Order: sequence, then C-alpha cells, then structure tokens
Amino acid sequence: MLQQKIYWCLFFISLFGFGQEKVILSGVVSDTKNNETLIGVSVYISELNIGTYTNEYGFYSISVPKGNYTVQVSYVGFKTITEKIESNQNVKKNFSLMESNLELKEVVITKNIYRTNIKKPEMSVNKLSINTIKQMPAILGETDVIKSILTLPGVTNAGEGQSGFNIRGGSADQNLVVLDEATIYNTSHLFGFFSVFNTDAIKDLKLYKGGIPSRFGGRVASVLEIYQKDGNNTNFHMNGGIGIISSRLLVEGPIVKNKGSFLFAGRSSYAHLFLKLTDNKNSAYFYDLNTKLSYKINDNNNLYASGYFGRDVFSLNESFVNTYGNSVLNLRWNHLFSNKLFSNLSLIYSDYYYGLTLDFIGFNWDSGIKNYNLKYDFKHYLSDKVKLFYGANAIYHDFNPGKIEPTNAASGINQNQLAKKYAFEPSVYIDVEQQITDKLAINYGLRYSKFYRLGDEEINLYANNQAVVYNEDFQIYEKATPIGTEYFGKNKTIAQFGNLEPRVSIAYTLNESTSIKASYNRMSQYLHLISNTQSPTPLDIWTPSDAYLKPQILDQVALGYFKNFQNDDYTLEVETFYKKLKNRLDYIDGADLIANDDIEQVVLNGEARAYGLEILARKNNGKLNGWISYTLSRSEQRTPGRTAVETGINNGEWYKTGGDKLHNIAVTSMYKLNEKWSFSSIFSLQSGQPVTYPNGQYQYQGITVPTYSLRNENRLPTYHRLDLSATLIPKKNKNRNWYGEWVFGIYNVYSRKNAASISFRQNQDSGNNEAVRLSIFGIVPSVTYNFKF
Amino acid sequence: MAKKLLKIVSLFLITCITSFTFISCEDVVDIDLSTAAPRLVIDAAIKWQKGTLGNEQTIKLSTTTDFYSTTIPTVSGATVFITDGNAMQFNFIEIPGTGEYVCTNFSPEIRQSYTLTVIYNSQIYTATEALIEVPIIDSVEQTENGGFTGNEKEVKFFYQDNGLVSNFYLEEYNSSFTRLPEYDVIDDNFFQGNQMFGLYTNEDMKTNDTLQFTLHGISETYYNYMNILLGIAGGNGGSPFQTPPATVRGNIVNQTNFNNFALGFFRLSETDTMSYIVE
Repeated sequence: MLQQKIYWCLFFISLFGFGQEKVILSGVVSDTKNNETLIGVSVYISELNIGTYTNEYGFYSISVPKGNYTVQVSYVGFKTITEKIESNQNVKKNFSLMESNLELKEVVITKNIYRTNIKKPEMSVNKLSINTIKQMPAILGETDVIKSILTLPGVTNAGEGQSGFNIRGGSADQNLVVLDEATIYNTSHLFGFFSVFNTDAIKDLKLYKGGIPSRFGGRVASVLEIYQKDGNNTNFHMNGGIGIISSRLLVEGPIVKNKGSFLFAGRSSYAHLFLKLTDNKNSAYFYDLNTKLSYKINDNNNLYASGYFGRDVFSLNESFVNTYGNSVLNLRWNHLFSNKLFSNLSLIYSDYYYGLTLDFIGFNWDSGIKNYNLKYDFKHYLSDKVKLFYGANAIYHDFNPGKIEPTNAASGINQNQLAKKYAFEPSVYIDVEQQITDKLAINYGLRYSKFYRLGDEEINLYANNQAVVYNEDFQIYEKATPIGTEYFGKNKTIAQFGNLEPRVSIAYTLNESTSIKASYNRMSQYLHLISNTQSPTPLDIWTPSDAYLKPQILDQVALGYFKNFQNDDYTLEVETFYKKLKNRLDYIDGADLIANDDIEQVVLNGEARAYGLEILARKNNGKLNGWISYTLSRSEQRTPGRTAVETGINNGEWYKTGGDKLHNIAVTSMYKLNEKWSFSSIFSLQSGQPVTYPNGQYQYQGITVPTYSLRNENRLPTYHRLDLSATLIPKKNKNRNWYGEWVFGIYNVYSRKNAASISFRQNQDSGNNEAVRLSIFGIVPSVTYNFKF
Repeated sequence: MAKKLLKIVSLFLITCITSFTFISCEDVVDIDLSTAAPRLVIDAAIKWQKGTLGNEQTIKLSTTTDFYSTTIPTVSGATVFITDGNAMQFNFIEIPGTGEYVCTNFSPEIRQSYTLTVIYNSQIYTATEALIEVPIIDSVEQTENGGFTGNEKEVKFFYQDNGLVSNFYLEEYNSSFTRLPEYDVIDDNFFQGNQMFGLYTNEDMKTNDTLQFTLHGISETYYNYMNILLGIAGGNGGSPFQTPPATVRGNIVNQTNFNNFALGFFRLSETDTMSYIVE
C-alpha cells in the first residue's frame, strides 16, 4: 500500500515537473486569407527542440523556461513563419499563416510537417488537408472526402454504388464518423456515388485507424473526424461550382467584423439527370446544407453553432418514394480557464431518417435513430513534457426501428409501430501525452464507458435465455418462441454494460528522421447496424445492445516504422496490425431483418479478427507529388456453436468478412505543369470482394435452386480503375477578385467493367443457368467550373 | 412480408443504381464453379385442391448436379410411402425411369399429421408434417397502373385471412407468358384478420394472357424454409443487397446416417386456384 502511494507521488511529480521557472507561450494560429483557425499546426521552439500542435480550435500552449527563442510555425501547404520571441513572462501570441500556393514559385518549405510527426506518439492516423483533397481527381465533377481516404492504406470500400467504407477489415458500422463532433450515421449520397461531405465547407479531417485516443469511443474500427470551416470573419466571400451532375455554393462573411462570422454552404444534384428511365415522373437527387456560426466573445471565450442537413430523394412515379439523410446540430462553447487549460462544452443532436412510401403495396415506412450528446472536454497543457486530455460525455439514444402505416383505406395493411428502443451511454476519459526522454514519448489513457438499455419497452423472455434455438434434427438455427414478456417502464434499466478501455501508444525516435511506434487500444461498441446484406443499404437499422446482442469489444495492437528521406522530401510509413473482436453479430441463415421486431431471434454472437501490413510512401515536395499505398490484409469472422451439439454459423468455421481485401494498392499523383495547368490521377487496384458462388443445383417445385459451399470462399474478379483530372486556371484571374477554374475529369479511363456483383440465375427464356455480371460505371467524363470571389 | 419488402427494396436499389449512369450494364460472363458431390433431393409437396378428392399425388426424387448442367439426374428404385396419424399407409410407385413416384389412393385430411418415408441406397429418410388449410380466393381485380413504372398491368387476387390464428401462405403464379412458376410466401403478421391479396405484375403481361393463381396453406416451418429458398433461387442470388447464401436444409432427416442429409421438403397443403384472362 505504501509502495503504491510512493508510485503515485512519483507519477505526479513526473507529471508536473520541477526545475527552472517556466513561462507559457500560448495563442491561436489562423489562415491569413480568411481568419479560419488551423488544426494541427506545428509550433516548434528550435533552441529547446520541443514543440506542440494546435488543437481542433487552433489553440496551442507550450511552457518554456524564461528566455529568448525562435518559434517556427509550420503547416503543410502554408508558408512557415519563423519569429523571435522574448519570454520573460507568459506570452499570448497569435500567428497568421499564408497559403504557400498563393505565392508564385520559389516557395521554400523549410520544415515539413512530417518531421515532428515522427516524435509524436500517434500512429495509424492519416491526415489529409483539404488543400490536398482538392488537388485530387474530381470524380463526377467533385472532389470527395470518402473517395480521398480510399487512397490511404487500410481503407477499402465494398465497391461502386455501395455505401460506407471499411477500415482494416472492419465493417462500415464500426466507423465513428463525426462532423464537428456530431455523429453521421450514413456517409453516402446516392448509394456511395457522393459522400455527404461538401469539401467546400470542410476545414480539416483526420482518420484514426488505430491508436485511437481515449476521448473517442462507441465504435471499434476507426474514427473519421471532420471539421467544418468557421466562416470568414473579416470579409464577405462566395465560392461555388457548377457541374454536370451537381452544383454547389458557399457564402461566408462577418456578422460582427473580426468577432462573428457565418458560413452557409449548399449542394444539390439535378433531379432528373441521372435516370435514363424514359418516364419523366421519376427523379433521383440529393441535396445538403452546411451551416456554421462563430462568435468570439473575447480572447477566452468562443461560441460556435454548426449544422448539417442532407437528404436523398428517389421517386419512381410517385408510387415508390424513398427519402433518407442525416441532420445534425451542435452548439459549442470554447473557454480558456487559463493559458494552460482549454475547455470545450458541446451540446450535440444528430439524427438519421429513413422513409419509404410504397404506394402500390399501400404503405408508408419510417425509421431512424436520434441522439442527444452532452460533452465536456479539457485540454490541459501541464508542462512542455506533459499534456492531459480529459472529459466526460453522455449520449441518449432514441431508436425507431420502423413504423408502418397504410397509405389508404384499401391497403389491407394494419398500422404497426415496431418497439422503440432507448439507451443511455455515459463515459469519462483521461489521456496523458508525455515526453519521457528526448527519444521516448508515450501517450496513455483510459476510457470508462457505460451503457444502459432503457424502457419503456416490453421485452421478450425466452426459455434458458436463448432467443435462437438449434434444431438438432434439421441442423439449423430457428427463432425461439418467447415464453412471456416483461414490461420495463420509462427509463427503467433493461440491461447494462460497463467497459474499461485502456489505450496506449509509444514513439521511440531512432534518429532525427526515423522512429518506431507501437500502440494498443481497446474499444467497445454498444450499437449494431443490423444488416446481413453484402454491403450496407440505407434501409439497415441501428439497434442497441441488450442481453442477447452483446457489445462488441475490440483489442488492437499495431507496430510501425516511420522515416523521412532526403530532407523530408520523401516519407515512408510501415505499419502492421492485429485486431481481435468479441461479440461480432452474425445472422442465422435466411434471417429476415426488415420490419423484424425481435432481432434477437435471428442473431448469434460470434467473433472476428483482422491482421495486415500497410505501407505508405509519399513524395511531399516538388512539381510532382503524391503517394503510393499498399495493404496486405485478412479479415475473418466465425460463430461457433454455443454447445457441442450445435454446428454454429457456417459450421462454426472462420470465414472471410465482406471487408476482406487481400491486396489493396492505390497510387495518387498530382502534377503541376505550370501556373495554368495542373493534373492529378488515382490508380486503384484491390482484390475482389469475398462472395459465395454456387457449387451445384437442384430442381424443386419447378424452379432451380443452387447449393452452396461454406460462406465467402470465392472472390469477385480483381477491381482496378484509373481516374484522371485536369485543372485549368485561366490567366485572366490574376488581377481581379473573381477567381475561376475549370476542372475536367475522367472516371475509369479505360472503362473497365468492374463487377459490382456476379449473380447466378436461371435464364427465363432458355431455362439454363448462367452467371451475370453487374458493372455500374464505365468511363464517365465530367466538367465543372469553380469560382471564388 | 419482410422478404417481399426486401425483394422490392433491393430491386428498387438495383434499378436506381443501374439506371444511374450512362453505361451501367449487365452481361453474362463465364465463371468456373466447383461441383459438390451429388445429394438426394426429395420434392414431396402434397397438394389438395379444394373440391377434389386429392387422392392422386406425386413425389419427385432427384439429385444435385453441376450448376451449369441442363439436365437434372433423376433417382429411380427408391421405396416411398406416407403414413398418417391413424397408421394408414399410402404407397408411392415409380413411373419406371422417371424419378416420379405416384400414389392414387391418398386420403387428405385437414390438420392430420403425416410421416413420409423414403428408402434409397439403404438409407432411410423421414419427415413429418401436418396438412394445412387455406381460405378460398374470393375475387380478382385488375388495374393498368401498377409496377414500378406505374403503367404496367397489375392483377390482385383476394382472400380472407383468419384473424383467430397465425397463418402462412405460399402464393404460386403460372402464366401463358412465363416459362417457370413464380412463388412468394407471406404471413399475416401485418394483415391479421384482413382481406389479403396476391399481387402480380409483369411487363410482358398482355390482354388475353392467362394468369393462374394458386394459394397454398402452409406451416410456419415451411414458410421459413421457402422464405430462405426463394431468396437464393431464381436470380436473386448475388445482388449486393442479398444475404449470404447457403444451402437450404429442409425437414427431411436421414435416420441411417445423420450427416448424409437430403435436400427438399415434405409438406401438405390445401390449395385453391383461380385462372384469370388478362383484360
């Protein structure tokens, strides 16, 4: 006991540090052009060889001994500032960076962002600045956040026309996607052709594939953190683009000069252009709106309100109308308690809605998920060696699995509300980022999350607590019949879970340009996206954990090697990872999930694992730059029988998950020919998606029925594709306020017919069986005119 | 119902996706497939059409074969019989060389329990089911604005669900313009005690075509079985919105060697049929 106390004392001593009298250098870094704060800017004191980064709100704080120093402020795509600072007392110093491509030629980037990255105990994280994304090929006339991250190692998707993305073999519902801290449940417009993020309105994004800091929780595979722009608080600006598929417009400006700003961005596709169906009564389109209001009360207090609203609308002859989309609202208060202690309080609402009207069958269908999230986060810059991040948040979830109602009296359908579900998810966390020695930095933290499934709801009871029973005679799993029900009143706890989630990552610097890093993280996920299709559909519903659907628990370890070459012109990142997941839901054969009030009767808890090697090589400078990423990985799951008699799902054997892509290569390059023309390209190649092909057929009741081997033992043909784009900036831009550019793009240059699926069917005319490939995109050219003033 | 909804929605999604762009296309491709060892298939559906004696019944035996094969191997020389709860035995005699086993003295009875026995290659296969009743098809209605596009002919066959119990139905459509029968299963979950209907649209359906609708009363077990089976048969397989396919196990148990199971199902249904000339 005494020994333990001594350890704790030593721990705190090491945290707070002793020694010379220190002063604090703090402030905000922003973009000269629009006063937009910048995230992740390196602030580096060369004499002391120490540095820090700006946080999500552009704030930095670093403690230094009294003295005179040279401060270097650098950020990719911006001109580095080097400034002498005299610090005999606490200094508040704001910096304003100028975009480097605004300067003509001869831009010397003295320090690359990657240099200091090497020391930071952060791995499996990819950052793409919005400037980089905007240089990448504009697919279908627009650059796209989700398509950009697909060029990074460890990131794949299910293919064309399919929503979501997969990180390190995880499934799409295991990604936490947050836009200004608010959860986005569906990242796709038009089934994945566009993402819901309007790049014009986005400031920055960060993708965590591993080593996830403890401030994040609730999803097991990854975090994609996206920040909206704050809006220009000095001048009024507009920009936009007019394309052949969609158009967009952004307006920003001051409400109160230098204090308050607004930003509105809207985007919409054209309603009828997509459909080649002859009938003009059909339409398919999407639109979205981004808004942000920022107000700086004083140096220590900032207020923000941000919102997003997006919808997809499909309508076939008004007899089939489908509407879905996300809406989020976030109110934030930034407060500086001192120049060492930064805080942010957020109140967040997010909502995903799915609605369907099938007039010819005669019903309406509504479903959705809502959550209310209160979050308080602190960033405590204790000393030059130690930073603390801690906070708490509480989320209230409200699930509507579906409400069905007749559209007319003759429909024959009875109104039915599937049981609504409620849950409460509070958590607390602490993270410590500590520079132990010059060479060794460590980031360690802990998150404690709780989950309460709440009433009011009537819960089925089953014999032996088994909602799925095994039929030994037929060797199949079947729904159990409830033996009774139990009613839980409003806010009464139906089931609860608690999990400790330790996170740790270590960086060891071998020399100025090389480091090795290692990380471990445990994550838990209490929500499940109920889906047994090969790829998620917008119709899939979210459901909370309960006694039958257990929370998913993930353990991941990763090891990495990071190196900068030739004055940081080139960087190399190599990582390996191993993930193990408990309680991965699996569905019994033929499970019906739509409008199913008793999901527990068709699911079993299984396990999953994934492992792989990722290589990312980048060229950071010069006329030609870009990156090559390669991933070799495996992702599997299995659901063994609960007892010795049961076969389990797929005979209890491991099988490849839909996210398994053995090889995945992406080559992204950007070339600036001259002031007028620049070009970019992406080549991507990945192993085909695992699928199950028939291994025989038989005749039953006049129809042909295929037989199958075990799950996912086949693969679709290899997927590959080349996209190109060219940007023309007319000369006349130079001396005027109006800035225009033309973007020409070609998607799938050599028009490869990549298989979105291979289906096997009996030809209705010949009666013979055949394999049919569905390919969605051939070559697609596009042109967009972008403007700014 | 749910399956139907899923089918409609996935069809819709596919329609949207494929109609999306200028170049999306479907083409027939060569895919090499492996073939599993043949397995016995027992197609034993006893159907008692309302107003008939139901004495003549056929059971078909065949095996699985290569997926692309155009012929289905039949099984001859098996012993096939059904016994009812009163220990009455009905023998099924093969029309030599056809794999079709026929009984001429079958005696159907609503909710009676029957056991099928098939002896083949010294393996004994058995299955037990009850005969399930069905309501009459009471009316039919045709409109001209059905289907996705809203301008296809659409025919609805109506029947009255019994509100006192849970019912399961197999809907079968045969027509003069399609080569293969089309099936759908439905339960009364959303329709308890209501007038229910079987809905048929087909862009090839024209005036004076014949459409035959047959309604089968089925058990929940058979409903579950057909629900899965229809999901993987008839061209649904392989769509990106499809569930992972697996071989569908029926209710037939090999009493001799448990693992050498047979495919197919033994079920008994009362049926009602209505033929309709399309207007």
